[in-house]
Amino acid sequence: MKISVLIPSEEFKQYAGARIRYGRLKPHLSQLGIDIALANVAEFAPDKAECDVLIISKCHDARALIAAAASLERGILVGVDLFDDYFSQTSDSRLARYRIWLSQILPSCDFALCSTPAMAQTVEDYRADLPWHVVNDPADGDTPNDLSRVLAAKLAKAKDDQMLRLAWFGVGDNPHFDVGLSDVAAYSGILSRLRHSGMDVELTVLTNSRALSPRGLAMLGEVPVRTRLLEWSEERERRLLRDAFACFIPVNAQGFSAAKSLNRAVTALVAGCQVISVGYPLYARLGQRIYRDVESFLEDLASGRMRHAPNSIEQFERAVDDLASAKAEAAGLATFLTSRKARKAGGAATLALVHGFAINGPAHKLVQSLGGLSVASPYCTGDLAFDVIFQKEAGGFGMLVSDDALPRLVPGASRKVRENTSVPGRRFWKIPGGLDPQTGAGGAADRDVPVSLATYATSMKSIGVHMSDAFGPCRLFLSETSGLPLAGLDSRLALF
Amino acid sequence: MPSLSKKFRTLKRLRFHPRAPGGLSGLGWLSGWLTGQRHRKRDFLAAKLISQSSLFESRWYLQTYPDVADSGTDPALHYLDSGWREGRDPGPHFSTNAYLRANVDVARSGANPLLHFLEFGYSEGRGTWDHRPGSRPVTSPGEPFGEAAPCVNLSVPDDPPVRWVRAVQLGQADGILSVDGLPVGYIRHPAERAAIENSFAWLAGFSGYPREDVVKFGEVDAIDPPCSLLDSWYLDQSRLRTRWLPSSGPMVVRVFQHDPFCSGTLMMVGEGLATTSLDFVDVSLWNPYFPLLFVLAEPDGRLLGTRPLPFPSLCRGGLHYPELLALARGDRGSAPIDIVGQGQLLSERLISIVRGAAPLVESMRVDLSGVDGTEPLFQPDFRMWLDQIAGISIGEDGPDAAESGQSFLAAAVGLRSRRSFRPGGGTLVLAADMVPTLSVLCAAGGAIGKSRRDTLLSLIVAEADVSQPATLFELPPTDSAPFQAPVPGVRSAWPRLIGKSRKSDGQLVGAIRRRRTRDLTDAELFVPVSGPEPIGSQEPEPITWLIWPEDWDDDVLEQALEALSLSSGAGSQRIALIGNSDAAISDLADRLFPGRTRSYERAEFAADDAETSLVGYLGSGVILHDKRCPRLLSSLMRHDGVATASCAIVSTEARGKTFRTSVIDAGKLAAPSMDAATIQVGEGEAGRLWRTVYSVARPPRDLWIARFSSLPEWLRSGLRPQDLSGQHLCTTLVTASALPREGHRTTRIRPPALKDGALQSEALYG
Repeated sequence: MKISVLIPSEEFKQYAGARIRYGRLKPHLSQLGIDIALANVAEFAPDKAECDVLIISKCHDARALIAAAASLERGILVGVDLFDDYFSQTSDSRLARYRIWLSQILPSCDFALCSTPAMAQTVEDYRADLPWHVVNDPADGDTPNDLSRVLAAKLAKAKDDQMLRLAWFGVGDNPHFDVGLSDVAAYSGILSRLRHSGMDVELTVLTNSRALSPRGLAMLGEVPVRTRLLEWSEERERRLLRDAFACFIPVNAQGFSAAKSLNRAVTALVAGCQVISVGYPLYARLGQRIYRDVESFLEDLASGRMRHAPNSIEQFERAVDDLASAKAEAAGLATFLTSRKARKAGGAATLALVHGFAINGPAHKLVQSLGGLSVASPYCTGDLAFDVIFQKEAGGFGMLVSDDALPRLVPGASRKVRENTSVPGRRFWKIPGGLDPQTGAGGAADRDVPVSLATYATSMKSIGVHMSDAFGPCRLFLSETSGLPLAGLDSRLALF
Repeated sequence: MPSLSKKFRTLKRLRFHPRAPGGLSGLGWLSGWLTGQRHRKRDFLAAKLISQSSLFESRWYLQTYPDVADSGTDPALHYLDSGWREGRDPGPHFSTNAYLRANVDVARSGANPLLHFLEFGYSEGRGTWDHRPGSRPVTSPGEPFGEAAPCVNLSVPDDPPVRWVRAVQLGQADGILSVDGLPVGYIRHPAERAAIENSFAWLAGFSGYPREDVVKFGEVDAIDPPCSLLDSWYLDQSRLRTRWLPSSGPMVVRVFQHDPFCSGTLMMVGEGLATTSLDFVDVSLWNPYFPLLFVLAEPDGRLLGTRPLPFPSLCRGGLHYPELLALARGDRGSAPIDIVGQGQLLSERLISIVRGAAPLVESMRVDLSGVDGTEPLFQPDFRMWLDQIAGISIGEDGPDAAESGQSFLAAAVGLRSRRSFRPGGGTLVLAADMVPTLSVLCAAGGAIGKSRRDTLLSLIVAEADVSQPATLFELPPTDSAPFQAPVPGVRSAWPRLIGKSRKSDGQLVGAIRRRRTRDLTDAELFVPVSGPEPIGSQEPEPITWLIWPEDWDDDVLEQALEALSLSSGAGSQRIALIGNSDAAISDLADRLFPGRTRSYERAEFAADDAETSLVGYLGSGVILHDKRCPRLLSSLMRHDGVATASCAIVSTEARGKTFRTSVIDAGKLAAPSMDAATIQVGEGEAGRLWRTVYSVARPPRDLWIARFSSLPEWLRSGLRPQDLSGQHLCTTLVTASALPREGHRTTRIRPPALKDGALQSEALYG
């Protein structure tokens, strides 16, 4: 079996998602006869790709919609990986485009891979019948043989030095949500209680430089213990976990955080660190070895019997096997995928991509390369070689069909073609519009944002009707890169 | 301790003294001589200041810069003179370049960075991360408190050092007063012992650890010490810095707090010497909300008296600091805010409740919509305070939680207080991103048990940046129930008191909401609440929209009519075109609203002809870009006493290939203390009132709906404000847009101002 994981860019290969999830699974999948490879969406040709399974990973644009639909047509098993929750915050208009994207891609999917059961619940909210599988982020290799020695040595060193070295590591910010450093600041009040240990306390924060904005730094200034700040690198993370006695990993309860994987806690535990995690119990599946409060941590420290200790390594290894074993996760994924059957392509529908307010050139090329139609909505001002252009005109939409697309019109529509016109150097044939049957107004549209907001969803529905009338059954997708919630307030509803 | 500037003032006075010898030329000579002397003295003092600083390490400097060692120059003088200009650091814990990079004003001034930090930067709270992180003072277990940290350290040879006795040195001599084994100080007169012990009894009792064997809780007969607390602020979540005004020489400040983490053990949490009002005494809090007792003593240990601080969270940067500003506003003039006095007033009220007075609030319920668990109501220290000191229990409010995060929050927010001294009060309902004010928690219910009603309470919105002013939104004395508009997924806008309350309680500030710093995006400005949940009632009541076509550009009006035709309930909406209108516009309107479009010469005629109970005013250029507008606005009109309902209007300005969206009109709030004044709700105010419904003095001028029956009255001239009543409601749950217009702007109908029914807004400056 060959799996292609569609990723948004070459850079993504270095990100934790690809590095931890697929990079660590790859050798184990290989042993099971499954080849998995990352494919940059910019270079992906759905009609030529030689794979049995396509997994869409973080490609939140129209190219993924086209690739999924085209792959489905070819009998490829198509799935989407959902490891970050940008989809359950239904009242947040900033994230409407993600919700629209998911609503559009799920009909083309045979399955979904999720980071946690919470993420799977979100998938079910969108499409209840879609099979899903939880893929835990695998740990980096097996539990080290000398973990017992490391744990004992760390405890002894903390007592000898009378110093508690704490660590927090990870991405400190997010463009949409308060996470990372804001969690550290919000929950750090409990760290002041560590003074009861009689030991000096130092928290080292290892994070990305973008998070170190004035706001991020001000938040760190609120932390009530001495704080050391370092820019993240893989090597620094390794060194920090080697030296730290415990990791402080607070988790807030918003959907985005609650859907995160267990990776950070597992990484810390494998490195021989205790884990104090307050807030949302994301790491509950790792059992009692996670400290949920400082009181029990201090009690154990005083007695010298920490929860993550040499005498509990066997249990820990079992937990890692259950929840973070690359081998087990690979086997689980293989079983899940091999039990899926690709759907047969249903009927001959024309693939069409409708460009909205902000256009996507590569998606335009992709759909045309697959023999589909690239359609300009009245909101689109981009200068691309569209196959169909919708224009506002008095009383409704005017529909312009290019020379190339003209033969694809159904007979009834061909008879309506009245005249030809030239749109930037290319010849188009006009099909007169008339009053729109749904709105009675024809869905006026132009570049005024308020008018677009008011008319967009209705106009798109009209375009869907016009396209089906002109070309027969169509599989329509919307390409919209604008951050505005243009496509309607309830973005889970079908647009076309 | 004389300051450097004081010595300069002496020199300055001598320079310009009329009886200085030598006449004009002599004065010039003297001036030059004095200037030289002044520079030399300044250098001497500055070098001494640097060399005495813990941030300057002579040995490190010479080891790091061997060329300085080779030259034989004094290292402090070298750094003062040229070292800093060469980018050298005075020690391992101060980065010259980092300080100058972070403080451009210092760099521009040409001042020595370390000297600036010692003289000014430290007291100005200049960013600590600009220095190497290791420079932060460490609280070590053996020596938990450092000396008072001076912001200016200008000791001169003539000033003898003030020697003072630390608590650990007090020993067990006769006259020593110890509490729970902690030495506090020496008693000067035997009669003072009881007074000091009373203060500790108050601290124990108020902290929830009453000492029945000492005195009755609350009956404090403290000795008033000859000093006052000038200022206090949080350095981080558990360190409080205090500044004192000693009125009769140096004094020692010792600070005590019960540690709830250790079963209420009494701890000394700070100690320091305050010589002048510029000295700081830092307090390492075991809980940032539990009360403190300051014990003041002479340097030799003899006790001067005590000062209680019942609510440290009233201090700058504390959770309740905006409330302190609200409590102290108006009548203090330029006098500093009395933190101790305000706290004591509140504490006396709470004590009376503990002793049996009926409380206004018995318990709290929390609406969990839109929160993530990082809010104070979920943090252990604050919850411990709510339990132990405020004695209040918390339950969850709102729909059943389906998501795992929400169900976790529902379980996490619940609190059953171990102290049950609040029977008989009402229930305070808050959004989870609010904290209850001390005022509401300490308020007594008095004899109001007969009335059971729900009342909205006033709100303070504080910025995440505590240096920014907070905003007090005070509810009008009229019934505020109409603007309770709960929407699924949208957190409660206003604190609410269920059960016992008085009509006047609306002015009581019930909660503080701390905003996050993120600015609203264009998407949020256009569509504050997206999602599948409906806003307002299912279908709007029929509305007749009054439009004056001659005020509009035809193409804009076409777009406005089309947007209106796509809005919710469009099938029952009517159009009244007033005055002259183009035939094409009339045709379009008739096509979009078939059989429901009429033309009138004047608005009064439309009123006479009214077929709907509601009328809407659509001023020129306004587009209903959110189809839910009519539905939400008409649902707001269902409450009696609502005169108009409207929503915020946003506008977009093109900026090259991008654009910027802003709120241009969200009504006018009433301004306090000025009879006729109103405050336009612009972007800032609207941001603080985002996703809420509120009452305004006047609605946005170009969009509102009202009852048709009101229209003739509003169109008549000579309406007296005192004849009017009701409320104009405005909401930021939805918005409409105004397109840019050219030429004359006309608003045909202005609803009367209803200031008495409007929200009052006041900025609270610290």
